[in-house]
Amino acid sequence: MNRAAAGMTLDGLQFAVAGTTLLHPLTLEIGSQGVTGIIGQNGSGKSTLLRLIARQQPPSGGTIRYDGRDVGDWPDRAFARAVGYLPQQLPITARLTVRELVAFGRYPWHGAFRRFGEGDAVKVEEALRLTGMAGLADRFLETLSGGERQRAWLAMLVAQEARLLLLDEPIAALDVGHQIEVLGLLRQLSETHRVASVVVIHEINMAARFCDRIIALRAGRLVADATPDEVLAPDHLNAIYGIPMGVAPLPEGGGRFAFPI
Amino acid sequence: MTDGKEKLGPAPLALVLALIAGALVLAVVHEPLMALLRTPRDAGGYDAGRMVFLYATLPRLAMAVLCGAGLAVAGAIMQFVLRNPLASPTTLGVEAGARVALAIATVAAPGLLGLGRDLVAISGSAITTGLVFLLVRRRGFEPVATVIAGLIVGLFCGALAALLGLVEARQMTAVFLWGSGSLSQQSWVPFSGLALRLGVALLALLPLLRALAVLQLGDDGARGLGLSVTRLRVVAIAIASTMTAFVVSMVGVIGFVGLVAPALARLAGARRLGEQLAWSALLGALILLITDAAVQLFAGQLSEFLPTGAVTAVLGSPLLLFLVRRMKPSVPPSVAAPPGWNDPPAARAPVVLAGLGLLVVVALLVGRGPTGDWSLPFGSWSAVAVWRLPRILASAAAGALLALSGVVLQRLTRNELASPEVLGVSAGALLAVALSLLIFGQLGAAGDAVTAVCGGMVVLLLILALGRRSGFAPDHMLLAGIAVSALADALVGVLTAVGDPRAMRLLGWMSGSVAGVSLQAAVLTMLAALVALIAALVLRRWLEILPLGSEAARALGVNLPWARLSLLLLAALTSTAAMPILGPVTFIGLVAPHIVMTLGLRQSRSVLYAAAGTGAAIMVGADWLARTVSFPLQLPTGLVAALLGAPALMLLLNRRGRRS
Repeated sequence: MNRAAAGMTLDGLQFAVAGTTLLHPLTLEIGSQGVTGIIGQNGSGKSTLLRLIARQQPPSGGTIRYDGRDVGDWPDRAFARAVGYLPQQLPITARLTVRELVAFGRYPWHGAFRRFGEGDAVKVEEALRLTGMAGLADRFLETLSGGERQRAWLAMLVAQEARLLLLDEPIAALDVGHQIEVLGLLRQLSETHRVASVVVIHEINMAARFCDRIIALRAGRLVADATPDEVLAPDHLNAIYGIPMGVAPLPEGGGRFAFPI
Repeated sequence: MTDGKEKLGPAPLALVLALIAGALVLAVVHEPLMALLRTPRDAGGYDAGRMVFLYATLPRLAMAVLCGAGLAVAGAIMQFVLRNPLASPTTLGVEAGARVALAIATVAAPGLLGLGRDLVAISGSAITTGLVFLLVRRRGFEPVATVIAGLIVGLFCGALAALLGLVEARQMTAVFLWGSGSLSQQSWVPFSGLALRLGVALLALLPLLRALAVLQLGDDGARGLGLSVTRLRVVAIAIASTMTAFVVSMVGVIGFVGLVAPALARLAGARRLGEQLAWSALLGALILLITDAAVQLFAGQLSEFLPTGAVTAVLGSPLLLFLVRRMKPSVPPSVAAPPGWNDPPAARAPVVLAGLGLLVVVALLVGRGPTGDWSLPFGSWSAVAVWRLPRILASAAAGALLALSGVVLQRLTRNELASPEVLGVSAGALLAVALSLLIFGQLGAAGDAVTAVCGGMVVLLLILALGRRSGFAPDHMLLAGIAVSALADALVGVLTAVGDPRAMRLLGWMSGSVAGVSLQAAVLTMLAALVALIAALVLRRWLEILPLGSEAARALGVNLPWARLSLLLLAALTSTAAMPILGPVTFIGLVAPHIVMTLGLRQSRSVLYAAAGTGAAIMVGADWLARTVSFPLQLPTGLVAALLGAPALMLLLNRRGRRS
């Protein structure tokens, strides 16, 4: 098991569309372990970066390698077994129960033709339990609340057994309680299952609390790549968000939080 | 977008079309206009050329502009309000209602036509549109339900009219002619009448425009801004239907303009609702004007009879194909979310299959004897079975094939309107058979079957070549299929309207008759149905995952182009296999999947079984009716299937609506 070593290696990665450069050449190692947060303003290129890594879009230049191999050369299902991706907009779908959705996470393993076996069923139940969705497994997706639906999709990613999860703003539409629940789940996966994740996230304090590493983009360029502790400094935050930011210690000590001035 | 091309919008396209139109119109009016200018105004006497020019040629050109614009606006509204790029002015059955009303009046009460053909037609349209409204009223005029109801009602009326056409062929030529849309005029009266009516409808539409634009936010968003979404949708649809009915009652069916002009406007970059309407109107007017001027110029003697409506497709289809090729693959499908309905009852698949078994037994046993009396052939079993078994087998197999094809296509394209015919494959088959009839004469049933399959395959290859660049994006495939279908319909329309005797044979083939199928062919089709069912079951994981959307499917490791190609091939081959038996009747492919859905089945495996069973059951039942109802005359099975399946689905839709 060489799990921790795998990761994404970006080399001169860039992306442009119709003459507008959305992502300037970027060279970076990302997603080998822990939880990595990508922060930045709207339109800074966060989602673009994630979509490129997830192979949802081919880059306009540079290379992305996963586990030493160009992501374009990975067979589709082998890549999906290694890397899971949660789109920003979860599609509205025809009637599906939670369990049926989670079972799709086994597709990369059994493929189009092989049987959905005993082992697959076990993984699905495990994923449902881990995400706390076991009680809702037979409910239809459209009858769930936003937070529950988000967790159902997360359960699908868990069932997928990927070593690296890419999530595009998974907590944007959730209340604080559910935000903590989802990010806590990612932490748990990272610590107990050694599943790395890269999360696009808006809420800087949430990112600081749950991530091991924070990457900040501004106008398609990397402006920070540091630990949360280092990022939580007024200078850094000004550079990232373009507005004056302050940082104060938490009342009970043991951390700081950022706020706009 | 900062793209320069996008800023120009549809202007370049419109300019090119306008230049062509100008040249053609000039060619048409050049001579008579010169003559008119040469003769002094007060020169007395009767000048035939002058009369023709002033009261036939000019009003006809004006009519083309008016009808093109009117239909295009109606189509743009329909596509916008119903959120489906496949919607057209005829989607709600307006055209079929008018057609069936005219057909019935012609056969049953010719006196009514004396009151005015347009009145009869408008009444027919009003009745069908009313029926559609009644069906979807309980469901809040939700777009998907409305479109389906309209389609079903339209199919039903279309089948009824076609049946009348076959039975009462002699009296129907006029209806055929009307059905293909002829613009020929004898005075300015119809023009001014139509202009007035369309003007009033447009005036009613104008105050709604701003509210309609808000619908782009989706129903919830629009409601949040204080819009009464349902009422707005009803009014908009009613106005668009009325506009269509006005045009249709005057000049017949020119529906394709209403589909293609808004599509062209959008593809060429018209974005806001106002832009879409204005450009659609302009493009629609130009397309019809070009078509009509070309018909007048080149058709010579035939020009009075060559239906412009049918010929429009000859111009519109290639344009659509051309633009689809250039379309960016990123255009999101504008398909509305599937309707949520109440919880499904427990699996009904066994019920469907049991019903099918019962039907087969009845069909096999019950028949009519030589004197027309009903009989159970206990004594002459073996003599009867030889004749009945093949057609029952063939009907069942063909029904199952079409239903399977429909399920696959609807899931692949995420569009509830998809049926084998929007693939264009059956249209290709029709085109091939029509051409072979024209060039080689009759080839017999086997020859037709081979020709049909070859034609279908050629079109399939064309469409696949077209779709390769977009990775077989479903919305591209649908538009391309529609373009090809329209082309085939146009040719058949022209043939029937010109009164070519070969047209009757073509119509016979089109309406799907299983009489005289050999046992060998029946067994082969049965095998094909089995293979198709197994193939669909094998590929069912893709059928389940693709509705999740391309992003999620890709993230799960599905090779999208490959999966889409496989399913597309499966759907095309499956519907092609049914063609030698049924001709290009693909109605079952639309209806059977919906019946299964309204029964509450969702899991792909049971849906596939039940759809195949339903398709087979409808076809066997239809064939039995076709054989016995008007004994000794045999009705075409395909048409009877439409007459049977459409009301069944309407009932189910209505029941489902009541429950929720």
